[in-house]
Amino acid sequence: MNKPKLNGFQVCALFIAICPLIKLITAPAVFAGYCGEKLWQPLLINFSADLLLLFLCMHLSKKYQNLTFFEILTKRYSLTFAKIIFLLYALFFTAKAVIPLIEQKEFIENAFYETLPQAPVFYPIFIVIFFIAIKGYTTLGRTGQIGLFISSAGIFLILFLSIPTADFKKVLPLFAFSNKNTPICALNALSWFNDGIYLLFFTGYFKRKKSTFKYIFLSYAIMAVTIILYFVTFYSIFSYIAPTQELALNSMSIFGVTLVNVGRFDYVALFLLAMTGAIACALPVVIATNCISEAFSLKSKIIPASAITLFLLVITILFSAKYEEVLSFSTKYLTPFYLLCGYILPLLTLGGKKIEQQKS
Amino acid sequence: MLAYFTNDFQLINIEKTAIIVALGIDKEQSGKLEVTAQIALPQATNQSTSNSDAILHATGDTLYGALEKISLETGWYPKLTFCNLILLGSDLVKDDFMPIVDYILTSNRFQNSAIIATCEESAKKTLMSATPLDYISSFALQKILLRNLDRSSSVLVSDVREFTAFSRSHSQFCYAPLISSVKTKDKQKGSSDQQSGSSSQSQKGGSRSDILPTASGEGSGSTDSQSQSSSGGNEQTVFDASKTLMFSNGKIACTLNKELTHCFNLLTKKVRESFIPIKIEREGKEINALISIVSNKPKLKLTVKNGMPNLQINLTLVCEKEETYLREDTTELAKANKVSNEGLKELEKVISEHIAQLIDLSVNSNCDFLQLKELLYRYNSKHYFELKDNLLSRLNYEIKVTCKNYR
Repeated sequence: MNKPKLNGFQVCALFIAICPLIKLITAPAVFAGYCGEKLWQPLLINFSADLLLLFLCMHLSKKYQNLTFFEILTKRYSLTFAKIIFLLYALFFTAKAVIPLIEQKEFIENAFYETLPQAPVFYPIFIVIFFIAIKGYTTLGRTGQIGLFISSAGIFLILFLSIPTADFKKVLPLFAFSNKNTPICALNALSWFNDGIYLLFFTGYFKRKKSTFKYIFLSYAIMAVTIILYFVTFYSIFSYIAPTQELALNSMSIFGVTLVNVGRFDYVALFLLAMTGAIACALPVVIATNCISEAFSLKSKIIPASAITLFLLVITILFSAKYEEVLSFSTKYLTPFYLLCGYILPLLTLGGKKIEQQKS
Repeated sequence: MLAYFTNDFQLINIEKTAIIVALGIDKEQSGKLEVTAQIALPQATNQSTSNSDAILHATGDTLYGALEKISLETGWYPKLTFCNLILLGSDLVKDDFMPIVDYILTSNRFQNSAIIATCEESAKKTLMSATPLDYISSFALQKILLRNLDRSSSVLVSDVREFTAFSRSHSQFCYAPLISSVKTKDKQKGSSDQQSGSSSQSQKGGSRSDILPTASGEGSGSTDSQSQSSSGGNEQTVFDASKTLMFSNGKIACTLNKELTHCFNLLTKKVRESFIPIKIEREGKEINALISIVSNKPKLKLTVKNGMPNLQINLTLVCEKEETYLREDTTELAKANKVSNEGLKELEKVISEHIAQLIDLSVNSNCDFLQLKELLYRYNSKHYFELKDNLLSRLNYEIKVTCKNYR
């Protein structure tokens, strides 16, 4: 039996508080550009697909009590096959980390700086990411637990300040004038979504209790509802000019009467979300590091963590000013790869040789 | 985290920063933009002082080009994050000015919550007016414009976000308050008194122009602010923002007068305190009365029958009697806040007339400021393509105004 490195509460905290963070910055404007007032539709598609993945994970966890994804693949197919799949996933999670990092950099530079900072103020985040990556799931879980309260407070404050100025009638009509871009948007948004895959990699690392999955589903539902509310509020505030508001987090909450009278105390929320944003950026890196360690049977994670963190640092330095090009590359060339790794490869767990069912 | 939070966030020294609180944009005859920046000057004193400002202007082919000229000539870094008022001059709005507003929207330098307003004269003249309300004219303007925030009644305020969002909606309209300057002999308190401390209190901009010359672009007079302050002691200006300029497809469509602006607010915004003067007939005499509206419940419903659009406007107003020019007996006086039935009926009649005038103005100027195309798009989508081009010309309407007492 693998020693549990996470507990159910930490998994829930990661879903509620950490997974939403990368969706708050540029994704709303991108969705508004594709779908206009129907931006909630590709969200529903993505969340529904993730829900199916969560069901798969629950099924695997029930069936193979303490086996991890790697162990399931090894037993069903072969060790070599499992290693190849995990190397693919290492690439997948590394690619998935690029856009959130560039967005986070833009958000911090725009929100907190008058002009572009001369000193590399953003790059110390890679030290945090490297640290969490070498420590693994235990530290990830603990930082997720701490981050739960910080990021929940930040998201709550942003919504609290934004909702009074939103005119929710702007998302009407709900179903008329169907948008052909809805499925295209759902596909192109996979770099921000596909959070169910994380649970697949946590399988076997946390002790499953009777109601664990009930709480995990509830956490995912809370996250989904919060994100849909956030996107809809964003569109209700900006409507037809929503695609021009690249950094939704900076611009959503400034129209409240309270801010006009008191001042920009939405910066409190922005600071809270900037802090927990580091954990959100670290999440795919931790899993990519774990994938390489498993693939090469490494005891220490220092080498894979260094390699991935260094690669992401170089990519961020080279491409941070070319966000549009990176997004375009991701949507044109990486979408099939995200689809393959995110939704198709997990189905491998249902095929192959039968494994003797372990009794609890 | 320590390394991150102990940096200086690239803040520029306040003495090298021009905190622009208002921006005026005019168009010269040559086609160039003349930008007037009103800059708040922090006072280095531990005594309470009044505000002080400097007014700088420059011309350029583009908005930020002109601001950059001011920056080059003064050495100040222009900080626009506190620019809460953007004034568009009368000449500017006559032409296609929407690209300027689009730049303001998309630029990170400007706040999308800044108010956009237009003026009857040039923006430069309006900002340079001496007013007894505040030493800084734009602060006086913002008091008038923001007074009504969340209580919207007599002024129709539009920020950059609303202005651009409405202009790109299906209705393609937008609005901005039209500011007119009214000359007054009222003086600012303490303007002729000597007060200890700052000498900048007594003259508007006078003391700063002694220390620093106002930056000037080609042809713009650097002496304007000085001459204004020297004559400012006798003739001062107050501002009236009760009129609204309506735009359709980026061009001026019509102007709403004070009553129609008020009525438009009642139909489209949440009103918490608003006053309407009416005349009540009592025993053959006309009595002046002022009714206070404490809440409103507007409902605009667009239906399509046999290809004809029908607009039903239901407006419920909850009222209190504020004041009547009538001596009443003690029993009646005890019901001080209750509006009489004839008062309520008269109010209903006045408001209905104003609503009808609004609709007629919208139809005649082809400016869809009631957002009927939006209503068609949202609630009658199957008729949208059929009616969107001639909705206003085929419109039938019904108005129902109900006024009731608060208690």
